[in-house]
Amino acid sequence: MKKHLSKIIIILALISLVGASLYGHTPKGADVESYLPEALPGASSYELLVFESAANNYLYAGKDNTGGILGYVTVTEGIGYGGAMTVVTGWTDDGTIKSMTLPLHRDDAPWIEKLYTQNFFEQYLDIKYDQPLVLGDDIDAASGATVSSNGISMAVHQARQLVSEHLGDPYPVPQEKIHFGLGEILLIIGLLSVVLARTVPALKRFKWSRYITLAFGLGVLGMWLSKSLSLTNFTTWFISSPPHFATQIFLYIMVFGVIGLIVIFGKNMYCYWLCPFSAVQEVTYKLGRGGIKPQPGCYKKLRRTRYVILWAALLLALAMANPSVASFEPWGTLFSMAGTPIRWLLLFFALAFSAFIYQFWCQYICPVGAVLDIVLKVRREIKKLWTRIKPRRSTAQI
Amino acid sequence: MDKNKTKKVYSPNLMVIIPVVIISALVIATVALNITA
Repeated sequence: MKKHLSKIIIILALISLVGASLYGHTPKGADVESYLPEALPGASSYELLVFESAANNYLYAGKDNTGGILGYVTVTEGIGYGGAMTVVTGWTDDGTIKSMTLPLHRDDAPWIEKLYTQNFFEQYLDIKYDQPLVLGDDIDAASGATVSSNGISMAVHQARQLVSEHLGDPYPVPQEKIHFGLGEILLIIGLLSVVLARTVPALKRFKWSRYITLAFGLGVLGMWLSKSLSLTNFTTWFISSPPHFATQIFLYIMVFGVIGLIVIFGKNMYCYWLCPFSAVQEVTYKLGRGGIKPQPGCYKKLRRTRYVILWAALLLALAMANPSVASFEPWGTLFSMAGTPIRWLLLFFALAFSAFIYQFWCQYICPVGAVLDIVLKVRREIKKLWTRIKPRRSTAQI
Repeated sequence: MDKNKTKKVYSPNLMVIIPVVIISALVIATVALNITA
């Protein structure tokens, strides 16, 4: 009976997620025209000149009372951390940027806040369409929000292409180079180090190997790059706006690397071994001297909280077609040192409890751990099924 | 071997249940604020 009940709950959860996804994918008809007056104030009417449905890009001409062209407004999309970002740009009639806003995005609020506090948008103002506008050369990415900066840069290049083509001097979107640098190399080294530490018998006996990989994760993924594996990295795929490959190859290595290693080795190489927040909790537990441990039955039941949180977060993200609404993990606040008061409170309590309960967040709350556990379980089930089918097949061949 | 030495000592379950409830409530509050933001 108990087994049937858990099966029914899993099926209901899956049905609700499919329903949320269908609802999230129904077109909501964004009111693009409502963005126009702010982008080009003074225009009495706007005429749609170009609409590229595949890329969801718009070019409008803003006109004065006599019908003369005052300037242009572009509404274009780039890909940020959580998916598509809509950038509205106001241009003069000779193609100089006069305003820029970001009315829609799916990135975490702290990253977007960084764009504003570091005056990222102001860098584009008064620049003409024929300037290169290359991120990193002509435009500085906002520190700690490089993925969001990249998304906006992509949208601006799309916008510039629309305006320049209309002005008869086409400036095509430059081809993005694949960003494969030190961060990506260190991530691969980190993952391979865990593989060695957990598979080579001589290293498996060495207790400190886990502390070394955790310290590596804390230093590189946490303090330096501020890019821990997050639920957003998974939900973006379900909301059909995967990260931009050329500029976000790091996220591809992280997601597919961790899942791939689970498939190959049947072990979660990220949680408790490379996760920077796990490293922080290891330190707080040592400082707090811990010791609180529930009874096994209660522990098992409480561990299911992670699945309930994962389900609720996925349901919301899918229904609203926005991964950032379900973003609550405390490491973003900790490593970026930016967040709303409620996020700071969540971080404070998560760390405070982890001083007394071993790996508190990872064991009872973390939705990323829940996702990886599901992958492990699916792998186990497939393996079981395979071993059941295999003998039959070999007998049939004889 | 002395059995008492290997016996695990557990804490009252409430000492873990209460933190889980508090953190879950904070997670709900964070998500609610994300939606309204």
